[in-house]
Amino acid sequence: MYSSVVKKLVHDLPNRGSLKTATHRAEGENPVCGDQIELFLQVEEGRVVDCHFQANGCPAAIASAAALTLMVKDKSLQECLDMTESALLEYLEGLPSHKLHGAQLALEVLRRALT
Amino acid sequence: MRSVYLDNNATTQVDPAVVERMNDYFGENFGNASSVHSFGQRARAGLEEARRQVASLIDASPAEIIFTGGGTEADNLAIKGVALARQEKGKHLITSRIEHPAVLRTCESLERDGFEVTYLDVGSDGAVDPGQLEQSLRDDTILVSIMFANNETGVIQPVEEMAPLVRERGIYFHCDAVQGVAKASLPVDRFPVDLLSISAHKFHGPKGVGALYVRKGTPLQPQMLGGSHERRMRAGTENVPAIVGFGQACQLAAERMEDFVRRVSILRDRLENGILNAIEGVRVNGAGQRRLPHVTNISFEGIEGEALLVALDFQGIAVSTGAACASGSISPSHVLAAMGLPDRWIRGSIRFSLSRLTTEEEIDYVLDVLPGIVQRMREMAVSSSS
Repeated sequence: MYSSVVKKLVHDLPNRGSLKTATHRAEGENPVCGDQIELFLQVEEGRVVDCHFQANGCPAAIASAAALTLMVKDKSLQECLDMTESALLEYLEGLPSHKLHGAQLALEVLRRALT
Repeated sequence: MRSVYLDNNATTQVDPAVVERMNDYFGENFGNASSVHSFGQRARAGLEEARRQVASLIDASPAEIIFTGGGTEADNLAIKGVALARQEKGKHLITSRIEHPAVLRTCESLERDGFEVTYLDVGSDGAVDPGQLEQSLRDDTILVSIMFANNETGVIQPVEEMAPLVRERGIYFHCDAVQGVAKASLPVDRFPVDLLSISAHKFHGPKGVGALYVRKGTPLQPQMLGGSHERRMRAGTENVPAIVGFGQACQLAAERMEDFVRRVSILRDRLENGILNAIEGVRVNGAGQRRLPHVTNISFEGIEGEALLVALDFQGIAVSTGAACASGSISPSHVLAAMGLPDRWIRGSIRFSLSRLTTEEEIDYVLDVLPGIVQRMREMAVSSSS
């Protein structure tokens, strides 16, 4: 059901917790299932130097948020804004079709944080 | 990576002795048990030996055992079979809100066909109240179906207290004992039910085979029509390899039950106490109640059960959760909800179910791994610092 990448992210939870040096922050919630994601980004000279997340919810939402914190590092703001669902899913080595809302919520929060 | 299987209420590993017994009936004893020739009669002999082994586990007569395609089919046959056979007497049934879907969906199907069903509540302890059952009995009640022990919490229902109240009124009592058989002694001469569902794969037998115990004289309308198999109560060529494996699993369970209960309850308590001592914000659902010896259902506050399940799976530990997210909506455990648990506790519930194969080293491995995972998840939670 879940790839080994997703399982490892949910187990390790890299970059978990808030980021005191964050310059950008946003949060989002799926009102139906209650998934919550909060992203903290530290942006310097137009590039993301650090990113952390907090989340409550299902493995798909947690893994998506954790993956984004790894994917956006050293990226320009425009590169982050251009990040697609398919790129995130490729990084995660897929999600079950009924769990895609987790990835969509994470990307929505990222865009909200940067715009 | 280590591999620790603690989801034995979902299914169990088939015992090698069961596989060996089954192989004989895939091989040289492959005949159709209804055939008159010697091939068929060898299969018939295996089938009837298995019937004796299943009956013996619950101190029943072999003639009171009907083989089915599993526990779900046994539940369907019991409930629909009695309801349809007794509908001229009345069309009211009673069950509880914590039954397995095999019972609940069958009752709902009967409701659509004009029957009336009363669903009994449970207390916060996870047990049905015999007093509430007695008050719900009516002149037109024809069947009561209450499980022996709940599959999620392991809480044992007071069937021995309830069944006599029901049967003395001429009402039939069905017990879904799929999770209880082979884990507790259920002799039907002292365990006063009319029908009892059994599933082989819950105690090291094969999947796709089970049985319905039907006390002599209980009216039952067959639900599978066709040939005259199983004394016309369940048409269809018998799955002889699975049935002989089922019989072997019953014999092994009978031989091992005392040792199983003693050993596994020690390990379950070691796991439960270890978690309670090492992790704050946890509760054992159904604690203090009479429970199956191999099950514990624990809620971790502030944690999503499915996420915890996946993190444990990464460490090679298999468990199950009472709340899973599907298509953007949460489907919480109907059992924990019926117990009145707040949503935050339901969402963080994990069921650990042990087997005779579970070792102390495996339990200690879980206790070694679990606290760190829970701590990381709580550090991640939005509410932790927002």
